[in-house]
Amino acid sequence: MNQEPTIAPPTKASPNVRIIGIGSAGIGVLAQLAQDGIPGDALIAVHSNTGVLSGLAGVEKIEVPNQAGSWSKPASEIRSDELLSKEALTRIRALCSGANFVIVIAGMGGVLGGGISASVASVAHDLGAFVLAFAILPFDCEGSRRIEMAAAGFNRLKNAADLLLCYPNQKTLSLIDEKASLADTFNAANRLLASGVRATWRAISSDIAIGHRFSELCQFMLRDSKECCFAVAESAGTNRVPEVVDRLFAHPLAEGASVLPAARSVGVYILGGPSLGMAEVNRTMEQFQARCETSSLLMGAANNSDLGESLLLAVLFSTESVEGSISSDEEANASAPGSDRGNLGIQLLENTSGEKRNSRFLPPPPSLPPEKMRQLLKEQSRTARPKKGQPRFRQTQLPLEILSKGRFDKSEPTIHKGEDLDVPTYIRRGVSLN
Amino acid sequence: MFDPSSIIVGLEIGTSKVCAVVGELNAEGALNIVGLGQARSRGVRKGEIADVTAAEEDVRHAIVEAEQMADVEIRSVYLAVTGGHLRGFNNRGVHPVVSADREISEEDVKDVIKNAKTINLPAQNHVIHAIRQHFFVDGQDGITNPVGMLGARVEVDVHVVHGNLNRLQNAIRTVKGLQLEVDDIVFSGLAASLALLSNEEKELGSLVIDIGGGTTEYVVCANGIIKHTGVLAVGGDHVSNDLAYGLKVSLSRAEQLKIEHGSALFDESLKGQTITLSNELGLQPKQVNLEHLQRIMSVRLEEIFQLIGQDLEQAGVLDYLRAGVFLAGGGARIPKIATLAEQVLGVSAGIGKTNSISGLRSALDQPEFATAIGLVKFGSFHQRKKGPRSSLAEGLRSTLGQIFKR
Repeated sequence: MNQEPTIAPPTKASPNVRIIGIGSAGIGVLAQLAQDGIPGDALIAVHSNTGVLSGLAGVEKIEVPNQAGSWSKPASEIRSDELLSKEALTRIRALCSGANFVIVIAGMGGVLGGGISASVASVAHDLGAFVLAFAILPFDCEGSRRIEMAAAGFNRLKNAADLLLCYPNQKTLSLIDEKASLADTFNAANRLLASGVRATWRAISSDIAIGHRFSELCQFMLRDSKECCFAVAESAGTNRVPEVVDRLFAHPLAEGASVLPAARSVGVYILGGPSLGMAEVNRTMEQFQARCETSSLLMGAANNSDLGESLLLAVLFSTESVEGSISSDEEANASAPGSDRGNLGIQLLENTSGEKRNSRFLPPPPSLPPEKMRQLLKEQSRTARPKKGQPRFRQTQLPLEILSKGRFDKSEPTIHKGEDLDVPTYIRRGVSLN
Repeated sequence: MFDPSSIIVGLEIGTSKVCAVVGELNAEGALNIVGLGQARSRGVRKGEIADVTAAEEDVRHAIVEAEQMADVEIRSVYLAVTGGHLRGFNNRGVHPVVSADREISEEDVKDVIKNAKTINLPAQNHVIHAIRQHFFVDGQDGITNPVGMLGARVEVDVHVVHGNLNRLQNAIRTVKGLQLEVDDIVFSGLAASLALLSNEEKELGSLVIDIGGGTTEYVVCANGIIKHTGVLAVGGDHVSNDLAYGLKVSLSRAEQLKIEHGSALFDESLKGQTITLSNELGLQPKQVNLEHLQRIMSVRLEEIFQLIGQDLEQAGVLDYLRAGVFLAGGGARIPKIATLAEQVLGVSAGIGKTNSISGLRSALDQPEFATAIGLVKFGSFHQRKKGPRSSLAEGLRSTLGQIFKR
């Protein structure tokens, strides 16, 4: 039996959105957004350096005291409320009041971004806004101290924000070539993040056409985890559906779509101008349905007249639930120097699904005190329990596109562990050729 | 003209080529390669006969060429067999020593080997090889010859390679259709390992990967014995097919692109570079992105090595490979393939060389002739065991005779 699609009436008033860029990383993205035509009154820049702030025109600026001395403190001892002056807090509160949505962009490796972003998110949350934070994690080469700071800042921001979207800077390396300068690298990262923020901005301020609103998609992602990843792509022209899907799968965070089958939840938001057709929405979703057989999938599609002939695709996906994995009293341990947990935030963002790792050498099990062992077993039994509300059986749709096996079409198939090896590997592995 | 009894011929009916190698055993028992014939293969898919008529014709061409080069008349061949139906596993035979003095005799050894070869296989399967590994006497491991030792129980491990009888007979019938006898059938991977590995490499632990057109065979030798064998029905044809599909070109063009621009690892310097393919029919020339070409190849080859790695890991033999990986077959010619193998399998890798045999340089230096040369080497071992061939009737009494009668 077919169900009538949910066609909601257009929203009466545009939601009030504020975008706050904190620290150098946040301001870099903010500058890109200002360049892309996001209204200046929605942009708020927070930095300790007057010179950096003065370089931005037409945005709200908040200067905070210089925190260079905080580098010497252990990451766990940096208190975000101490870094933000009362005047700055009052100013942020005033600028965010009345906002429905607040987007916080901050680099986690720095004292400023990792330190005050949580306080800013808390203020916005207390004012009733939905806080969506873009957390930028440092490059692997930036050293363990910075990664430690980032892990601590990441945990603080995760507790303060409603939903955390992660972007490990390391992923930028796939966008640049060997000869790229440092400035080019940061520009590439800024452009990528700005495209994500811009898509969010458009999604929030668009009239819903079918499925769910963007805010509902965010709420849906929260079911599994407070943190997730995002990928955004845009395309125009007659062939825009396959192009936008290919581009999205080629996004550094989508890793050639290999992350999707392992994702717990996937939220797909399709934005197009008035010409956006039902068939296009259907074709786009078919691509995701084929790849998310075991994931919970939610979608929304909306019209945005600013997009004209372009089709914009934004996808949120949570790969690993970390809810409750670090209790608040363990946070200090998590960020302690030398602790493996110091890198947890980064590890959780790594692809946990796709590529099979060689497990050539199995280390002996670590010797643990009985108390710790009991605690681990307890945690293990908790995670092993099936999640309530998650359907055990899902009816899936067979792929409509029949793949040709070329010269092997008429020969006996080579099946290895359920996989047809005659089908080109790049197709089975979702390697994008764009 | 050579003495016909000293001539040994190896015949490989591969997916991309049929190759016949003629070897001569001299008076001292040393092997010399004296002839080589090859023809493009048209009747084989994934290592198995798909068109008997075409395959017969290709075999005939290869045999005639080999006969002309070696100046001999070929009467019988050692035939390489492969295909996705072949399986390898280790089996152990047990035999109680019943003599009063508990001394292990030749008879006990024969009996224990016979027991190890008694395998419960489906009726349609045939054992191609049951290769002896080590003996155990009362549980003591690593004994190479237990004759004369004292013990109550002797055991032996054998590595068994078996496959579907009907499919094996397809290849044998093709050869017999040309009035040639089949001295024995040999698993291709085993033949390649015989050609490429020295005794020291077999002792240290080596992996031979023969990447052919339709199949990839692999053999692990360690402590001087065959530890593990396997076949993947994936080879160079799959790489060409992937390219044809991904680059939207014909199979022949894909094959040509693979040879001219292919690489097992993506060369970053080629990012964004394209080549223009002219069209003989007067249509628009086609642009092919070199990055796409190498990425498609790279993921396929990487997958092949990953599948082999997983199988070896499961069999527990990956850590034996102290001498490294030796690549053979046409696939070994792909640039940077050894580097890719090293990256995936985590051990040093290189192209295998047939150094231990003398003769035609043109055959010995090419990785794609390793199997055919190995067949000749296998034949020479076989010949030495049997002594000089006196008549055709004796040849027919070989183990192979049994499968024709089945």
